[in-house]
Amino acid sequence: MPKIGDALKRVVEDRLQDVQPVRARSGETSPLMNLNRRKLFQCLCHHPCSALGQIVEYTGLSRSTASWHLDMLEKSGYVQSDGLKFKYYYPAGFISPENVSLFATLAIPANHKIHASILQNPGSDAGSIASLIDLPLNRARKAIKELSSYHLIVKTIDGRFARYYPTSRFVEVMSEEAKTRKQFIGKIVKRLSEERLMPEIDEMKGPDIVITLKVRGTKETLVIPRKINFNEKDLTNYCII
Amino acid sequence: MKKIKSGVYGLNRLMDGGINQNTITAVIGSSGAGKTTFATYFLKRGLEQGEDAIFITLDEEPKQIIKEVIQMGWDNVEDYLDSGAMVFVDAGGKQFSEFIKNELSGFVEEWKGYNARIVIDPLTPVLWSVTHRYEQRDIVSFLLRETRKIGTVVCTLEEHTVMGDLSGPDLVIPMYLADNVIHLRYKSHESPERRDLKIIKCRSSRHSSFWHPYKIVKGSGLIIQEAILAAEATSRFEDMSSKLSKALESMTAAKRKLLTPAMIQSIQRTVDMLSKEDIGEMDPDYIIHQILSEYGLLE
Repeated sequence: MPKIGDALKRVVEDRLQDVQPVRARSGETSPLMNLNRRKLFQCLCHHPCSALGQIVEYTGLSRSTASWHLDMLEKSGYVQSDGLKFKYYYPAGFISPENVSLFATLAIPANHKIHASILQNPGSDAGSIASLIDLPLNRARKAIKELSSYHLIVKTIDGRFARYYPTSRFVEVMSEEAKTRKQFIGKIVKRLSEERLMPEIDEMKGPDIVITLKVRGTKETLVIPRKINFNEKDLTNYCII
Repeated sequence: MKKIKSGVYGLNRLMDGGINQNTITAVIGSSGAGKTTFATYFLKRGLEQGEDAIFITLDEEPKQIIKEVIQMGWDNVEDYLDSGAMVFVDAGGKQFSEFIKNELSGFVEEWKGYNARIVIDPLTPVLWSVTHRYEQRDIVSFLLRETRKIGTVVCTLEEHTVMGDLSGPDLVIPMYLADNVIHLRYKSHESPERRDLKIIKCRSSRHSSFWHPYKIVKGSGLIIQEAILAAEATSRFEDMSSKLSKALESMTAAKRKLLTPAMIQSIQRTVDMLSKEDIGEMDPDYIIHQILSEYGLLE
């Protein structure tokens, strides 16, 4: 005679096929149980599309350590990488696919300094910009060309000078990405829950969402920026995506 | 409303005779309070009277729970597993949520009217598997509403915040929706450590509203203390078997007819285990009385 317990077991446990491949249990390891990986993941949430060199600078980890753990995070689906000339990393699902290359361009230090400078000083010419941020002129011109290709800045000719102004494109992209980030946070919490890290969201701490995890009996935190803290006049806040 | 025995010695009388059949009981407590033990002995009690038992685990692996259950004195649990009377369902929070949303109603339709004993341990990951409060309420409400139709459910909930503070978002929703709510308070920081139980809610039944000390005892699960008898308290019950024999002899003829060989064996096993355990100041006659009451052998 069929038993209810067996029937329920079959129906529920069949669902295992639909669940993410990395599934932690007591005694098994979620990728984010490791401190260095949490550090790297958190770093990428604050500095998406960073190259390995930048990540090493932000986290203080050695190249080999960072590289190893990024590889683990990529294999487990927490992180994605891209880039032909320079490989960069970002949290999976953090940025819409169509905007990844734009963020990658902005993540290059010279590019983001130029963009921030133009935001602060619209109508500047390349020489002034380069001088202001202490960058070689040819490097500044290269950055300007890249930013223009993503319609982040626009050139106008004023007599002999080419002057550069920010467009609304950046604000539009950040606004689009706010929705992506919200979905990202939801997915991350679900995955952390599935991996039995018992995530608890603290929504009361300013611009960041602090997620408390239970890792081997102790509480650890993961800090994910809630939204772009964008202020056209404030260069510091520009960096927080 | 039909009552079923809880499997927790001393609890039935605090709930007007037991747990109402086809209800949901939420057992809340911090780590170590005895939630899983409570749930396990709830199932054991049902198995002993021929009911099916389902243990849905969303945290620990089944083999770990079975190992702990055996260590805690339920040494024939594997017999029930082998016979299929008891089943472990191993599910993550997301997985179980998907089942609740997509498959539960169909499953319940097929098995409606079945009277199983079901444990969900813990329910907390189901709440965490959805982000918004209204979704949490929806999924828990639906789960509890449907599972009532196929049996009586005990779900455990983890107390993560300050001890005694049951206002946390993960507790409020299930507490509101459950028929019965029992709080296990574990003061591990005190010396000696202390455990107390309180029935916060018990729909459609009278219930105690006091804190009752309890102990977790190998072979018996939770034993709730009614009162500490300081003068006659003994810490070891060497001659529990003879006390049991005397209690059985004093039973009425009508009650003696209710005794089955399986029942005698189960009671004897429990008492034998108790003989080897230290249960502090609890009165041995009170314990025997509670055990026999649990089996309906005393008034």
